[in-house]
Amino acid sequence: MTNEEIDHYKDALSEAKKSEAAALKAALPKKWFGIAIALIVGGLVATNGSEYFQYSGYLIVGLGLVIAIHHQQTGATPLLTTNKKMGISALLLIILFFLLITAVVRYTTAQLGMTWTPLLGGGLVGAIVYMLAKSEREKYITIIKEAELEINDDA
Amino acid sequence: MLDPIIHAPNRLQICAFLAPLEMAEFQLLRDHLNVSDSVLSKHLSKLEGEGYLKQHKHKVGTRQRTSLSLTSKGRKAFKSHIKTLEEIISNR
Repeated sequence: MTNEEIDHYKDALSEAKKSEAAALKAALPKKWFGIAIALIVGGLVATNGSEYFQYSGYLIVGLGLVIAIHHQQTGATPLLTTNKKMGISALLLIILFFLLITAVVRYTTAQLGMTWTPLLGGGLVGAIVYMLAKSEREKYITIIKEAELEINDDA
Repeated sequence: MLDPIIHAPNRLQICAFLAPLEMAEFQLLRDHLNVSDSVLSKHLSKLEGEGYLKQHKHKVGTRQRTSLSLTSKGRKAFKSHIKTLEEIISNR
């Protein structure tokens, strides 16, 4: 194989890496997105566990709106996992956990008269969602930085 | 073995751009490649014909939008193509 051919393959690989990094940059979740999702999901647990459950419909509409606006801003959705079964299982586990917290909050409020638990439950779930969103964003930033370093090394 | 369908410069960039994504909008990819709609459409049709890519047309308000994603066959082919490229370069 000639040097020219090798250079051609090197250029091809470098262009591919640049494109991958550009795609991740475009799809990088915005900071406000994680905060908004955390507030809404935390609010859902708090309202569902309290006497204000009739307001949860507005929060579900809000959740849909936030996702739609974010998607319109980025124009891309990052691949969460290449293993679909694992991704769905993880999502189901998280939903189950949130439902369990909602049930505990409802029980403690209705049966034990602990009216502060919706706030605590909502706050806890909101904090978990925010941490998950933050770590996901940081994971993407690390991948982008690694890709950029690799591109610079190749150049 | 290098995949001739993927190896064309624009198509390699299309696959590389879509590989880390669940989906991307047509406009975003067009702006990244800096090509015209027709040029991009031609490459997308080629990849779609090979079963490497899916195009999903949908309406946002009155506008027609197209979302693009790699199929699992496309992801495998791209991964294998990149691996081959890396092997060629490292075995130099």
